[in-house]
Amino acid sequence: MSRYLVACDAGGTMTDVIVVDEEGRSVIGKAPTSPQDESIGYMESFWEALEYMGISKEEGQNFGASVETAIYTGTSMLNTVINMNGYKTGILVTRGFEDIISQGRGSQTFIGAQWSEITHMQYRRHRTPLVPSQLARGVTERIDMFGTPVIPIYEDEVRQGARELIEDEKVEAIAIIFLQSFVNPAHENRAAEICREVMAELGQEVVLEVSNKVAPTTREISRANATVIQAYASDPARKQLYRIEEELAKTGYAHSLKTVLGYGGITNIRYPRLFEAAMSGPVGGLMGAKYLSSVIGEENIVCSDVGGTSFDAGTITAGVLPIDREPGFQDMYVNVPMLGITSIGAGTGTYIRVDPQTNRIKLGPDSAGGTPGPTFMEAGNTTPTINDVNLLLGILSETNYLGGKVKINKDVSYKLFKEKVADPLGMDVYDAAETCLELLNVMMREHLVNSLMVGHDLREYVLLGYGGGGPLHLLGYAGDFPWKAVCTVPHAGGFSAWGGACMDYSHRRHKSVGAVVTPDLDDATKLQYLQPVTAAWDELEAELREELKEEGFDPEQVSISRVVYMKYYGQLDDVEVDSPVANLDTLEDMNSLITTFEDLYAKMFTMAARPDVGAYHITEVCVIAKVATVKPKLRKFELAGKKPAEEAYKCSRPLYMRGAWQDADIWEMEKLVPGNEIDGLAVIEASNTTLLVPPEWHVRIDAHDIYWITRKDS
Amino acid sequence: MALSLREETKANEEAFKKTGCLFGLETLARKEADPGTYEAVWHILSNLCNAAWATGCKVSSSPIAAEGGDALWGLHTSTGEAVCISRGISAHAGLLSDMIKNFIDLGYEENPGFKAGDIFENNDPHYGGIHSPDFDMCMPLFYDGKLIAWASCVSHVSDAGSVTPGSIGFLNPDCYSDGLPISMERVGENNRFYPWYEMRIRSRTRTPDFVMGDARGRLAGCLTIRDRLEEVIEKYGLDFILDASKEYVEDSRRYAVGRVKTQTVPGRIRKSQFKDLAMKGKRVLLAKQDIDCAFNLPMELTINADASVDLSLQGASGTVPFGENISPTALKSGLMMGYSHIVGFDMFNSGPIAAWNIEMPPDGSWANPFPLNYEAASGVAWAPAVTWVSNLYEVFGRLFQMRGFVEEMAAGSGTIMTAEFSGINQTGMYLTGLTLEQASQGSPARGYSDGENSAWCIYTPEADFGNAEISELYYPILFLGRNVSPNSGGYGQFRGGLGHTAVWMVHNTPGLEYQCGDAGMRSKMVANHGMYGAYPVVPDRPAYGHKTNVKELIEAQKPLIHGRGDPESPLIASLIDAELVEDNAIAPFVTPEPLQDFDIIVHPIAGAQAMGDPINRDSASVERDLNEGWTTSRVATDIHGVVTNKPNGAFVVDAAATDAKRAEIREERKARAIPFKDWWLQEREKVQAEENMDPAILTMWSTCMELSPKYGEELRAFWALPEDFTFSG
Repeated sequence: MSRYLVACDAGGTMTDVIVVDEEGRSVIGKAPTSPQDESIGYMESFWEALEYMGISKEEGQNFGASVETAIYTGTSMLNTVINMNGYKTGILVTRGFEDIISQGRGSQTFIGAQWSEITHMQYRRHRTPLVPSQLARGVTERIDMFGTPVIPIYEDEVRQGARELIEDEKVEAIAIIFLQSFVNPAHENRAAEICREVMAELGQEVVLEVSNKVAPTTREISRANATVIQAYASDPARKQLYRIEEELAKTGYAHSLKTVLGYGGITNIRYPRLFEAAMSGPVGGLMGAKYLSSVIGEENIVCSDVGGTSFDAGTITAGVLPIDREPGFQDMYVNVPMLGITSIGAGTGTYIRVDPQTNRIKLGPDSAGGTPGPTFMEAGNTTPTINDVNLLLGILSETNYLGGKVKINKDVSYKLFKEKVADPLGMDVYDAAETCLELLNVMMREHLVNSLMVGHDLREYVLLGYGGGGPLHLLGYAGDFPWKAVCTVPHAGGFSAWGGACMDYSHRRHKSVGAVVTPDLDDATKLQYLQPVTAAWDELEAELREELKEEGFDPEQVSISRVVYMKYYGQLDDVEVDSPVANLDTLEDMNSLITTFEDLYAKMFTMAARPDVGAYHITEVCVIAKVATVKPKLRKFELAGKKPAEEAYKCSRPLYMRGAWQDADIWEMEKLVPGNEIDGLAVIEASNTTLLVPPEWHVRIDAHDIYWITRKDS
Repeated sequence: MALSLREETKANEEAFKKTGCLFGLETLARKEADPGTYEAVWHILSNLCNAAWATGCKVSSSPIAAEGGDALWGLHTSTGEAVCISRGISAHAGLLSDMIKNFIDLGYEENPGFKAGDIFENNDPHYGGIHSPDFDMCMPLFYDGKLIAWASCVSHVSDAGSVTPGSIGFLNPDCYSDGLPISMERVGENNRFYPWYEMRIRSRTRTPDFVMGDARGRLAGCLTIRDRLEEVIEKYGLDFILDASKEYVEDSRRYAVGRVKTQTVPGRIRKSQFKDLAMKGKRVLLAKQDIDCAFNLPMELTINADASVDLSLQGASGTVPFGENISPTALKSGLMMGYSHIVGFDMFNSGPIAAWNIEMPPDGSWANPFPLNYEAASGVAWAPAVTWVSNLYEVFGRLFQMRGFVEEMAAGSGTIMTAEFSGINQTGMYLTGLTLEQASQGSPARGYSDGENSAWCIYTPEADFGNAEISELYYPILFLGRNVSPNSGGYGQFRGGLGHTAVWMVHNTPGLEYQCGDAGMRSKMVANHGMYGAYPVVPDRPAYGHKTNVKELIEAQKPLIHGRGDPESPLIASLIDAELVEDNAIAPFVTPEPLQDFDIIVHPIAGAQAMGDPINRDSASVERDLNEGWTTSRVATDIHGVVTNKPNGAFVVDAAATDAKRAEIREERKARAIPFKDWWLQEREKVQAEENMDPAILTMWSTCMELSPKYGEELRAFWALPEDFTFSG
């Protein structure tokens, strides 16, 4: 009997489930996301995927028995925070910081905002705090930046605060956040002990989280947010995951459900720091790309994901994905490692408007999302979107949207686009549509080239496009930049779900250290100042090994990497450095690390000379523990001839491009095979995506079924 | 033959005069012919400036530029108009533009000439700089041998070598004490600084590594702009870029005019504010500084029928022997920022302010000192000037209200008091610099809601105070508190966003200078008054204790200090014993001697102004503020007329008692009200008799009447005073 892997990507709009067999063959199901009970969307999508395998729902009632691993990536934690339906949570915090959550910080009021919004004060809003100040209790204590207790913990205050929160305020969870606890956790840990004593005295159990366990890294506001999210949302979100696991169990699935962590690893849904899964949405794509890169032998990849609402992008350099250690999440900065992904509000559902005062075209940043749909879905929305443009220009087919499941109406689209966009601009409808499309492509291109890729040489990178809208816009935003190559994959709409199946079982731990080495120090002192780095590495490695042991892994299976985050003293950003040495015990160790850092720094910031301050600052250390998992095979096929089979050709359709209607060949992606080649102008249609090939481009499908797209003149 | 840049500037000015459109652009041909490319290129150019910001801040090495983002990059036309800017401290956009124009106007095109790779800088207020720690840079950008644009940058360094450490030189008595001047100089060629530039920084600043790191950051960002612009030109063509750059500026002007036309009403509106600086009896540098000062900041704004805007700043008072004087160029730049944020925020560039006719402050005033007082210091030049920016918010708030755009209203800012430290930090390094506390104040009340707590800063959109743990890396302090300050956002139907109070214990240092500085604070006066019947924000009242018993309190596990307490009754003296305790210190000041370990500083940051009558405040909002600890029962009852009970530990409004209390307040108001005419007569007598007028106030009035005769005439007319009336100051 075949064994299968099932992975899911639950987005804001749609839930995709991919089922992969041992040969690497895969099918993808799609269903609307169901935030109230995510098992509904998961299972609907699961059944649809089985349908593509020719298995009806009735026939598939025991299919789960043949599933080796089931993975969830998605929005359960996010929904708990958005809907504010997590646990009633109180905080015990360093006295004087009781408002740490409700006050937040200024920059949290404009996370992800455009510059014109940031400058206009009226738009600013703090989010509703997960913990109002009423549920905060201060504790007198202080530890300094070196970990020295300067003010001892006033234990009576802890006891009284815990009692008030549990007994009077009836909280369901308590988060403990003390300043500099990542350097010395003694006060936080003692406070936790006292809380447990109070719980025992009261005979009541509440969830208890301490910041030095949840996120032992500097920046107390972000650490507090992380700890509160963990206390507030983890258990409620876990309940959603248990529901999915229950439903899968009904089909015979005999294992635990796995989930995806924001830094690109999978773990059991019983994993204690589940808040690390809060931002796992865009991770699947990057991890899929990373796996793809290892198979095809490309170390440098720019990953680009076009969805309905956003354009997400990340880079893989030398096989390594950068980590963002303080990403924004629901108007909070959070100390949680997450793959470095940057997003702009630009997708296929992005709204198109013309400002009545300036007559300027405005794309987004908001979008139609899934409900109500864009105009051509006749869902009552009257604001045109990028999807309308693609439809009007002939790129999207009226009969093939989501494989023909969704009915669309080009006439409505034309009427509204003309009235709201083309006429105010004084332009022909089709010229205006093409103008909007090009503007979107420019925004995406700029995001890639001038934001994400600053300091990188494009000639060394392969541009990979995926997401439902990725192939549609890929060559538009690839532009004429000198990418090493441009490629996409079939089933690009389900690539993120597929990527979820490509991850190792992985945990990582970060810890801030604050080790500064200045040139005036003697060698012995320098080494002394670096000792906290080695100590933190050892501590984190021991923790991770213990965690993985408890999760049933043999220590021999675990591989360890040691990392530092380092910068010149005083600079804003540090650089992630894979340490070439396991410890910093000798001057040679230290110099080896400094050389690695300086080489990397010079590569990243070639435009600027290195500062000659000569002071180095290691801000944080990290240990990564991995257990390799069985990945879906990337199948290798015999190459067929360049000419596609006749049945793959659907028809010829006029497309409006560069100011004229041109006939395009329309191909059916499912019927194309490795070895086939197609010249633009062409549109290759699949049920979950559409690849547009402009006239100057040429497509070649390689043995792995990857679509490589090159300029005809290259 | 091609025009020189000076000739081109003149031609632009004439074309504007003739057509009313910048560069004479009566039609925006590129926009009309190709709106998509026009938008795309705007997006690309803006992004290019942001790429410069990202690169420059990464390379910069001072905490202020790097952690606080106190920097800005811009792209300009060949004649200096700002086309677009990066994120960052937008208050400098106009100033950078004027610096480039100044280089052109002074004939640098001929001598020493402009060539690719040249680096020019200025930080000298005499030539348009704001204050010496803000280093302004520009580089001419060439294409095919022709100067086609400029890249610019400003970054705020931690120390520019003024007479006192740091960057908030309010104590500077004259310009000679303002620090290292770069006076409209070419500081490098071939994309490199001259050796003397670094030598001068090393010999004349206290933190040269950081200052040079910031210089490299400025340069790296400007080079990013240069390189990226060349790519854009290759793609879209030089002609398109040159044409579109001008159109963006004119388009932005039109946007601002359009906003004024559609969202305000024609007419004249005035707003007066005052600021004080109480220094008498404090630690100062020269004997002439042993005085109190007051500043007059009148503003008159006229919206004309064609939606053009006249702005008069006549009536500003005389210079002061402190660092609060500002050059008109810097002042205009700050106003441009405010105007762009309020009115012209669609495209931030030189366009919106071009629709203004500004009557600048009179020669010899604190806001235009140099024609009459060349020695005036500008160590913290924006300190009084930000109040004018606040005035713009209020003035436009009223105009928007008149047209029903309630959601656009804002009540204006509170005060800005800085904290600057200098000394040996916890890692043993000498460090001087500004904390980020003042960069995160409450935002003004809106026409329909409270402002936001700790979320706004009038001088930069990037309002943020960062994390305490990061501050402790730089400064020898331990935070004992950083909570919301209750009652710090004025009192009104909608209150301003609340500020916060930082409480620091000095830690791990042989000595720390704490400078409670002026960046727009008030010593004794209130700032602004809120709008439409609101009550104002209280003045800044920091506190500190020197040679304290805190060590003993800690050992005995006694209560420490974590906040300021009610403004009416500060906590420090009741909690801390010390050889020197200032529980209600009047800002600004420098502590008499360096502070030592276990000394305490309580540094409150203001909220913003409120709007509407406080007894119209929704009682549920008062209840929430009480329960969050953001207001007090005294204020709830006496000012808002909201009566509460506390049945189960939480405040609950007593609706009937509240109605009764509010009715009582209204009756009390009626009882003490008098007809305006009676009030005017009473006040007139006091004015004539100079009753209760401090010498600082008399000096303020007499200088402003002398420097602005027309303003003086109006003042006399308002009070019906004799034609020869003057104040005795």
